[in-house]
Amino acid sequence: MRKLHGQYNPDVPNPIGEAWWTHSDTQAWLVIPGIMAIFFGLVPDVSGWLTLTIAGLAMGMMLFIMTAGFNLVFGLMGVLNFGHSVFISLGAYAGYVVVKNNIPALLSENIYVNLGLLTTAILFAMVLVGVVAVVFERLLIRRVYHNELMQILITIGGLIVVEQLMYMAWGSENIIVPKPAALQGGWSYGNFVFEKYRILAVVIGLVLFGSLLLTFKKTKIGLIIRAGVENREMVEAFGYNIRLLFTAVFVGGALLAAMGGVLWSFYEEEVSGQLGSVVGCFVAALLVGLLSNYIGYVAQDFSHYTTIALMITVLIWRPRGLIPLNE
Amino acid sequence: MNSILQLSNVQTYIEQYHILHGVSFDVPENAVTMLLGRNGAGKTTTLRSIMKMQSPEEGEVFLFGEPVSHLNTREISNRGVSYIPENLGIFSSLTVYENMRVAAKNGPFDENRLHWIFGVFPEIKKFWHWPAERLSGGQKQMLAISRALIEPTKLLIMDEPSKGLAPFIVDLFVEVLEELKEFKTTMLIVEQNFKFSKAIGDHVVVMESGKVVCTCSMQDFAADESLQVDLLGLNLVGQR
Repeated sequence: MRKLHGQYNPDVPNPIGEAWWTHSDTQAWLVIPGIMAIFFGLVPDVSGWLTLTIAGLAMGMMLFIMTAGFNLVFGLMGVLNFGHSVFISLGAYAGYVVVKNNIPALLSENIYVNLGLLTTAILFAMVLVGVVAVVFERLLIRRVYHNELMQILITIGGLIVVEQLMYMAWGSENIIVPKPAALQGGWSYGNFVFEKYRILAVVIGLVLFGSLLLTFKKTKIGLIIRAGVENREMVEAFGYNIRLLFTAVFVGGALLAAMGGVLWSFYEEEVSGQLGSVVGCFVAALLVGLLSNYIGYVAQDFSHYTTIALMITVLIWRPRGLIPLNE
Repeated sequence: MNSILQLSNVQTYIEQYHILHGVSFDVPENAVTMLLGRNGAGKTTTLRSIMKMQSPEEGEVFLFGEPVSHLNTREISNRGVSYIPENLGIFSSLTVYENMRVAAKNGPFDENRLHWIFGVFPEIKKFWHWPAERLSGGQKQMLAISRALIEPTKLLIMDEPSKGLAPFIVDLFVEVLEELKEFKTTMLIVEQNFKFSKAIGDHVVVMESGKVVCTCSMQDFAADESLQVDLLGLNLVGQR
């Protein structure tokens, strides 16, 4: 029989420590260096392999930034937002507006002026997309939380409406957005060129991924979102405003998409990570980025099939996602 | 004795099925009310209707004397009601610590409460950084109760806390709930295990086919074996 008072022992050991990392996570992560190693053998020269790897990582990082929101919204809200891509496009157009009105900053050779322009473009895109995302969530998404078919129809409908509005504003022709002057080109070492913009994209992607992981792991709001992904009803039973949380996550995802849109517009597809898992999304985005670049180089004829082949492989290997939430 | 919670003619439907047919009963303050009945009697739906996880079509729920049918789950929770569902509602991908942090809605842990919880359930401290999915059924139940108690609660609602647990764990929970009774915690507990119910209950509400068929003191109910057999079924004999 235990006595309920006076038996607290602060020295009770914690034998396992932070046992949140699983064998399954390790397997998924190892796919990235595994793919890199395989193509190290297939690509004839080291500098070509390094160039492709950096390009693949940069592309993967931007895909991650653009798709993380779609992933979170499905995980937490169970909403398949087919309109997510409109936030990416709108972000890119908003970035273009800032660039168009700041040509001297674009042409400046000063890296800080260029970074300032890029930051301004991202912030403006986030504000504009944030406002549209709030309206999108309140007007469309909130009405179809528990109706999957309606979600598909209404989000595609929303996409078409916003798309047409964008065409009205900016036309349907492709707009060329050159990279800021100091971010063009790269540093060369022998045959290998470190392209500046790709390095920047990798750094931004890593910082964002680290921030998202820290937010989900260490902050209260991150814990509530993860808890909400698992059991919305229980989160509400603890007294949290789940609707507000939904809106916040939806807008947060759209802001990431806006950022990704701006970055992508300066640079130049869909991801198979388990929906709801930020880490799975990150790994999958990197895989798409790396494989697209590697296959494009070693077997160009097959490059169009890379993403679908990756998706089929992941579905066969891990039907619940690369890093399932509760494995 | 004051009632913390009153149900008056609550009628609840789940889709086209009429589950609660005018449920009315009181939950007295500083006492343990056991909501008993056979499977399918509507006990869980009653709890869910109180928490507004299921919306009653008719009738009214009064919390601390005020009608709350117009409130949502969050607002009812914020009036000091803690709810532990039958499936426990544990966030399995979160660690024990993270589960507790989510439950500690008002900020940092109250050290005295945490100290008390660690004293009652040393397993909670021992497995503090374990993912909750790795806990045993008993440990998950301990976590569910710990979560419900980390913040001050005026009414603790539990759905079958002894379900699927080993007898010695059930005995432990009896001890813990008895201690909670000493702290004057008002509880409404749905339970199938009559031995458990008898050990901690002060009042009994028995439901059958979505209606309340008996309200009395546990003392009277425990003394009337024919009533128990009549309302709870013959299998009760093995539980006495």
